[in-house]
Amino acid sequence: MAKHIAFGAIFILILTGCSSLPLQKARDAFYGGDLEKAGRSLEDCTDISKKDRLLCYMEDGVILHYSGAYEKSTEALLDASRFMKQQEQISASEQTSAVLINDRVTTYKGEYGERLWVHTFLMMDYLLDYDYEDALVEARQALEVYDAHPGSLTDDYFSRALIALCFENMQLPDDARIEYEKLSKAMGGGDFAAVAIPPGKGELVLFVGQGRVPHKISTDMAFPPSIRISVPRYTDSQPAPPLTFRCDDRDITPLEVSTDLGDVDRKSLNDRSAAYLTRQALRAGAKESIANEIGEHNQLGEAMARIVFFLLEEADVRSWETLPGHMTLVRIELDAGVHDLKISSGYSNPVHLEALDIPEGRRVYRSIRF
Amino acid sequence: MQKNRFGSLIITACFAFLVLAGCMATTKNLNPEKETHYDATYDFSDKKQIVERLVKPLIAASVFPVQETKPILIVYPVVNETSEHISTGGITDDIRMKLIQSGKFRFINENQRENIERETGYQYQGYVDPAQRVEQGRQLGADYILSGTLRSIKKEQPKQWRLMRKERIYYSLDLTITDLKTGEIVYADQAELAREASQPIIGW
Repeated sequence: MAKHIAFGAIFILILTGCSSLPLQKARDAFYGGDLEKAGRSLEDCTDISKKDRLLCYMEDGVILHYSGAYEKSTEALLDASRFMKQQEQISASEQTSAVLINDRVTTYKGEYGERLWVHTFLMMDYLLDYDYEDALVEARQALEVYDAHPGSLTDDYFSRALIALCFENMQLPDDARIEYEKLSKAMGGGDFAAVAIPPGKGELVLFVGQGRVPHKISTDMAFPPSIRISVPRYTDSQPAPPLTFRCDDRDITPLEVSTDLGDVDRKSLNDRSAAYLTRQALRAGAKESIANEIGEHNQLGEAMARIVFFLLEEADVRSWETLPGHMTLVRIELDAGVHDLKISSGYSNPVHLEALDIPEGRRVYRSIRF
Repeated sequence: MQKNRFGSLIITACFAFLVLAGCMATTKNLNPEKETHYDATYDFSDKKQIVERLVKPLIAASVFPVQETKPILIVYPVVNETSEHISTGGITDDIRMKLIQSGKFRFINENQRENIERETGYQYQGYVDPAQRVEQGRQLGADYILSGTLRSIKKEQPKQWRLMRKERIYYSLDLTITDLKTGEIVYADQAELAREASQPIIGW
């Protein structure tokens, strides 16, 4: 019996480790600056285990976005959006496995913040392709996520400002006004409003990503005789250096709306802490009774079972890791014509947008990452 | 003993058959006339229903002044203001097709304007027999613009202890015809659909 448990445990540990290898390769390549290799690692997400498939679509979407392949990024993120909808049902078999093994055996459904950012990146992708109608569809889906998890997502100012912009683009000023009012309330002030582009002017809209989103780590606690509690938590956010803008050799101060994605992630995780702590308690109870049951017939078996159960207890530290740590929406009103823009962020190399053509009465979009 | 072995063989065979049957891929033709919905979201049955609801009254309407020639319409895309990625081109194509088939209207093909320009431009580049060239400046001018907006309102059951998740969706398509000369809306109609769907919260 003990031998079977040990083999089973090793098998599960190997399986859970293997499924995330292509994801890790892609993340390493992405942060190593090799975007092409990162994209290649996740070419077909259907090859990835269903448990981690959502992460594959999400990581692929971001990698393709920052490679400038906005259409392909849209495809990957739409797959993520569809996958999230399919996983709305609670799987009884997965929950049973999670109670006996660990949360890592369940299909990853994304933290509330991550579910919102799928739509946020889709909005950006569509805007970068000047597809305002589909951007609005995503804005409405993002609003549904906001409504489903209001407590966790109020601090995501960037997505809210982007939603308002999508309404502005589709000439829906009332909807834009409502979103700006919500934004102002969430930020504790600020004068946000839909403003028409004046004659002779155009607008540059920048989506600026900075740093790296905090990732999850496990916090372990052990209790006698062999109970191990392992809960996930996010690492601390790194502060983002202020952005500076120089247009045609003069400093400018545009409108900026920024979100610390780590803050939103932490709130999302806290909001569902009751669910995973309940499962932890159930699991600890189930493992304890199985170990006691084995111990009644075989003491060595009980010791083996306890070791295996102790090792199997592992926090679910899966998360969307290619996201930036901070997202800032920058809106710059410029005279219609050609401009040179330099954007700096701390010690990172500045980004030059040279010969940027701003047509009269139009918005131009760019996405950059430091 | 022999009976028992035979019994277990049958049970095993039945079980294997059920497993295999479950795994088999299937393909079948559906009747597009029959209303079919898997969930509350927009599908082809809705498109059909919306188009039929809007076209019949429009054909019967007497909003256009009596004139020798049929009114000429140009179709602008239906704006999608729902929270779903819906190809509204299918709706406008169907409306246009049914109106053309009614024999009461003439339509300008706005989608083919670039191709028409390219083709006529080619004809005047010296490759085509001058006698066979399409005469330029003879295109029809539209009298009316046909446009519309598709909207949806979605409501989910509030979070509470329950076994089924219910969702209600209301769709409306507003269709308008605008007189190009005066800017007046000469015709407006609306098709509505409302649906409730539920799915179990817990599955296998």
